Amino acid sequence: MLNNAIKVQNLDKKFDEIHAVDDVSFEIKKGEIFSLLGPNGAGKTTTIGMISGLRTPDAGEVWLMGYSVQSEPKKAKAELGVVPQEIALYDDISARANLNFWGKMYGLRGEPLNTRVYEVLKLIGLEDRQKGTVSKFSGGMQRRLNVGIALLHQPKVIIMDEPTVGIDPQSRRQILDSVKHLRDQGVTILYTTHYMEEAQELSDRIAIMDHGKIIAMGTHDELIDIVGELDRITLTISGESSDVLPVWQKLEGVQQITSEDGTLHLLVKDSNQVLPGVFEAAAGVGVRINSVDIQEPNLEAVFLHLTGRALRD
Amino acid sequence: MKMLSIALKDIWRSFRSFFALAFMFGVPILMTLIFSFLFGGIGSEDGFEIPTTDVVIVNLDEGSPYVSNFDHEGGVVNSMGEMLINTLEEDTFKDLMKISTGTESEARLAVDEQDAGLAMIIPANFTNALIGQSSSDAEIEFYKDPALTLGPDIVKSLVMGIVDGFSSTTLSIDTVLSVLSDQGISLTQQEQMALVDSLTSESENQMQDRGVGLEVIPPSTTESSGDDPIKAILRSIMGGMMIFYAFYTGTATAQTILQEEENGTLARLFTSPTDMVTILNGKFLAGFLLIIVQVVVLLAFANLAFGVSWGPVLPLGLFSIALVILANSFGIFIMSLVKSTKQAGIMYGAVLTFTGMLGISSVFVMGSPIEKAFNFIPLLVPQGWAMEALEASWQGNLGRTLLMSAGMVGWAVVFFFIGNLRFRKRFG
Repeated sequence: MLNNAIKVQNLDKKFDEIHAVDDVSFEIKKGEIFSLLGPNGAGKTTTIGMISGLRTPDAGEVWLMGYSVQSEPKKAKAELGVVPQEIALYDDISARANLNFWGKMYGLRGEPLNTRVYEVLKLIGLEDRQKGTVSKFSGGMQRRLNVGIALLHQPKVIIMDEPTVGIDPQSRRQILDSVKHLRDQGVTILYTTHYMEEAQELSDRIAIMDHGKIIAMGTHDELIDIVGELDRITLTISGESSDVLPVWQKLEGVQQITSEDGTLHLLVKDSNQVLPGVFEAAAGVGVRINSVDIQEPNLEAVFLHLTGRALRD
Repeated sequence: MKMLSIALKDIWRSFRSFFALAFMFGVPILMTLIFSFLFGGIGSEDGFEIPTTDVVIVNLDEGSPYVSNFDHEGGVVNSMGEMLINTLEEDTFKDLMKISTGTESEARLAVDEQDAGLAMIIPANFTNALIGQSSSDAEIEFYKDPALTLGPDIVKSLVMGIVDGFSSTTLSIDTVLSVLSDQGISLTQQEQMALVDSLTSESENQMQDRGVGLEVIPPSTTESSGDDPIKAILRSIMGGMMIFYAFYTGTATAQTILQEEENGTLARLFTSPTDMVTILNGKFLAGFLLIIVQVVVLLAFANLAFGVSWGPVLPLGLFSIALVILANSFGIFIMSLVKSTKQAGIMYGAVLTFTGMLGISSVFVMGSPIEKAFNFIPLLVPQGWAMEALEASWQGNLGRTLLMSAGMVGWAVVFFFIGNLRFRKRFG
């Protein structure tokens, strides 16, 4: 039985001198949310362009639900819903007319089409505005409709290319919730973003892309482990730091302490285990802790570690 | 089925677009309406009527001893000015103008206050100038209401025609007298007057035979626009506009391919299980259906609103089908040459307008000295073939309609082949 919803093998694409996608391979299991994380220009959109059949790869092959996108495009595309990065709607007609049209493009007709249009309008929270002309919708409403179109034909695989770019927090939350809802229904999702928080919140597995290559891939914890980052505890205190520093340095799990303009930075293996000892030791020498900030290792740090650049550079 | 869905979506979007509707129906109808009002407005059930112009004539003509007690139209006149007034008061012109006489100041005041459309001031030396007894030229002054165009201008050209007739008569008399004099024959004054009378009558008959627009003027009671020059003009204008804007519709519909490419919906279509051929054919079908609607509406409107007859059904049908095919494929061809909707604007502004105007130029040069040159020039562009086919169609010339329609389809095949090939290559 087929386990992979998407299989990408040695995918390669060049635009003149730019190597947009460089020998990319990965597999996405059925029901998995897989995020492609990387800065703008990393090659994410080109990769999903080839997966969705929009672009022809220079080399390599893609399978969707076992169908080759190159040799069986109609069958492969029938299994796929795509949420493009740019809003791709007919803005001079209504939301319902848009859904009706796109439903027909995926082979829906008659009552099944009407039912699905209603369900999707409800899912994206636009049932009250279904007759409204799309050009009069807010950016968030248009984004939600943009997502809704990809869900019409109940595809087994959905590709979402940065679906939350430039929208209000309410619409963003609605889209993220709908992604989780789809995952719960067993839909496989390939999600691209340059927001690490989204990748972290949604993904079962994450691939980090840079300069057309996948530079790291795995679960969130696996990626953190790859780079071996530590938790960072930032403290401000009242009293002499020289009194407390020698005590803290002796605590188990504390790797490094630095002081900068009255602020202390502790690098620790596990902040949850270390923090009680930190407070006890401070109280023991009469030092009062005014503020504490804990930063767990994140994908931003992983990207920084791997490339020497910040994710949003 | 998907192809039809794409076509219907494009048609629906076009019908929701003010600009598309304006170019498809609004502008052609408006242009024809403007011309119809120029020719006197939309007429009653009898058809179009040129409005009657109130003309105040100021006759300052002092006459001449050579023209006295002159028998004209059963009355006696003593000057060419009176003769001109008598001529204009004939029943033939009663639907065109309503004549009254007055002083110069009364006449000008009547025009200024829009009680009259035209004041015609016949100068004092009018008779003498006409018979060659004045050293200076005589010029009839026309003082007209600037708000009116057609009526006063027709009266003016009619008067000029009659005066030219008088001039040629006096020239003929001079020539006859000169020849007779050379032969040693001299005529008595009575014999000279008889000669003048004879030649004047002959000249007036010729004027009436030539028409000078007289046949145009009475309200038409016939159904066929072929018998009514006003309707014939409106038919040419509406026909030209229909062809001109059918090509716009074809181009505008093909332009939606570029628009969809730019707003991402075309890419989205390509990610659906719909092949490129179906998508492009759906777009082409939309243009085809839209132009059919446009042509049918404009033909029907012209017939119902202006009483324009488009001739026999068969040639008209042939022409219409050929026009739809040609305009659509021309649009596909033009849009396949450009990369963006910005460039498409240049196509509208330059190529489409230029070829369109050239193609229907025969409408605008009708009756002018360069008309013959324009028998050939419009055929350099596809719109010209369409205009030729339409003219052959309303003349009921099935053979020529067939020939021109075949030519149009020939153009269309070439345009479609190139356009389709370029689009497929672009999105393949």
